[in-house]
Amino acid sequence: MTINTDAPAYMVDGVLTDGEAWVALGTTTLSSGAVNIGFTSTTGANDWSQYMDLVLVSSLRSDESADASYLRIMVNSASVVTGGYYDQYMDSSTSGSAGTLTANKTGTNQGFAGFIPADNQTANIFGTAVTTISDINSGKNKQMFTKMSSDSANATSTPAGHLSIWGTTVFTQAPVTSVYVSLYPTGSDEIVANSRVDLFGVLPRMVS
Amino acid sequence: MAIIEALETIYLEADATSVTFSSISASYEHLQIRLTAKSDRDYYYDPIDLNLNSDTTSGNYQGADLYASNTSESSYSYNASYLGGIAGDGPVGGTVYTQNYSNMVWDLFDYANANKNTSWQYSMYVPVVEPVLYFAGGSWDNTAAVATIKLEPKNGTNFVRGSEFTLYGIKSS
Repeated sequence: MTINTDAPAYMVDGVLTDGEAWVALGTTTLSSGAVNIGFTSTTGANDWSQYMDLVLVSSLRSDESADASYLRIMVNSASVVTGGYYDQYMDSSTSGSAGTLTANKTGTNQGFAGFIPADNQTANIFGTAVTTISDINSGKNKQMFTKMSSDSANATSTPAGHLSIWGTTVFTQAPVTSVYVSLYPTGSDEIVANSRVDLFGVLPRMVS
Repeated sequence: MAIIEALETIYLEADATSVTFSSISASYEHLQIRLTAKSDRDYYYDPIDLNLNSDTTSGNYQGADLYASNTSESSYSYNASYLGGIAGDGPVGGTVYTQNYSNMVWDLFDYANANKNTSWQYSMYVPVVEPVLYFAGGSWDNTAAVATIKLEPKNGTNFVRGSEFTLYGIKSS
């Protein structure tokens, strides 16, 4: 894991400036399987209290014995929170050459955010996801989008890929101080080696 | 030189009928607006009326949406000057979540190119009991550089206190 705790670049000799609005905060590339990939606010550039939004860019695969695994993005705790999340999704899935568009909402205890390729898929297929968490330091309930794709190719069952967008409400007015990328359900399955998540902070305009 | 620059942040400390970004420089490749906002409409959602460079002719704008709410998914297109929808202040299913504001990420591409009508795409989420999720695009029938962007609730009177809008400029290098 690499975390950017440098002094914020927008402070130049004690003067507030507006530089790059997107700041690379951290990168994790797994060298072995893991139950989750987590990031936590610390100091310097990685003090999240200075950012408006967070953006997670993920490349993931699971070792679950399935075509695809559920992806979760959890805020402020890696554990489930009763009544803590609410989702709406729109998913295009494939079975062979046929496609199906489905939508649904789920009142849940965890932040579902899409699908990632699992162990049934041909080796080296990883899914992608880009997640925005909005207005992370406000007193609003926190809202997320995830746009994801999970390609599909395997020899053991009918290929089943996904392309979808997910909206997620986190019922907390607290600032976002940690975020976790994981699978559902938690248990013996893991995110596999070479999976990667990059975290960016998005600054507001600070100088008039 | 910054590649992505925060050009202006508008945070509403009181309800406001509209939000306007003006005098937008043409020196960027693309623009992005990131917002969390809510309307005071007594309903569970409210589209955002859009006005570029003071062009109030609705027929000069187009949109196409992929839309999901509960188990319904649909697509539609329209010839009008509005964007998806944000959370309103009215109940649905008997519940109002006061702390739920909609979020949106809206990209306007090559907005200063004199040979192109400006086009855009956005994602938008209305987090209510019957959530609404948009993945949408649109365009404006004009090749002028976009210098002013005005947003206002379509049916409500105000964006409510706490709504926040930030305009970013994106350069190629």
